[in-house]
Amino acid sequence: MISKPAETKSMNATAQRTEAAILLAASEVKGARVINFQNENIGDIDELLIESDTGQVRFAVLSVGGFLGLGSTKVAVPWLAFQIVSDRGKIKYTMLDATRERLEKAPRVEGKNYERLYLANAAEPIFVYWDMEWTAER
Amino acid sequence: MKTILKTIAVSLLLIVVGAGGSLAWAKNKNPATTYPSLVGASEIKGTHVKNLQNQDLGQIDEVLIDPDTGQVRFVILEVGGFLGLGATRVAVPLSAFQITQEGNTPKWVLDADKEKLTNAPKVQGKNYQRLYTRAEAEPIFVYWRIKWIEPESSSNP
Repeated sequence: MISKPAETKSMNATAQRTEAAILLAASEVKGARVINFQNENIGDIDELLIESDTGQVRFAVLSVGGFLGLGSTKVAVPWLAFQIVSDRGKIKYTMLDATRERLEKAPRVEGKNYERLYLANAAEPIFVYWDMEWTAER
Repeated sequence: MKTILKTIAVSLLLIVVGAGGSLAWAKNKNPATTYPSLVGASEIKGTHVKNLQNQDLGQIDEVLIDPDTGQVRFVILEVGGFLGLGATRVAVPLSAFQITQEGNTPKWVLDADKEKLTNAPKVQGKNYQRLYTRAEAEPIFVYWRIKWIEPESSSNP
């Protein structure tokens, strides 16, 4: 009974980001490991940024550890750029198509002043950088 | 001439389709929320929620996200002593909350009295995955009088 929606979803091309039909708890996503397509450990998810009016998760703030050799750096990445690998309803890790070079040039975030990322002129270039379609209407 | 008319007809059609699309998008917006902003999920956790009578209902314990669409589906509200029942956790659709600005912080309001919370669908433990299924989720939307919107990723055949 419960596995039926999961089967339907796996047929669907737009649902390929995840392996299972689940709801993710935001506090479990925080701290999730992020690896790139070269199987390198690039950091972990530090925060999810949610649009208060639509309930849409717009960005994940990725805390890049020693990977860049620059100490701790934070970059905002559109949430839908991540692939989520889960096991029995829990997030195992996420994948992001991010080489060292791509991360080095990625738009950074400083501090916790995330509100400015609400504005299209701050947010849209980040979507463009990560090859994601900017869909929000402002 | 015929071709021009055809072109006009096609572009009109496109405009209509375009408008339809944005209308559907606008429906997803919560009209009660007058604080359009980006909020960190970890900042939402622990936020106190009040009702229309300005009573403290409890605090937000968790935010549940549909990973495919990135849409917040539910907020888990930990009801404190308000019910006189000890700690109880209820799942509430995000759009049931009114989020307004109070100083520099968002203020969360939920239209709920003691009776409404007592009868509300509860959650036990951290096994949130079952709330993904429509059979579990839709009744919660109905209870909180929020229109159920089938997630995009599962509505396509």
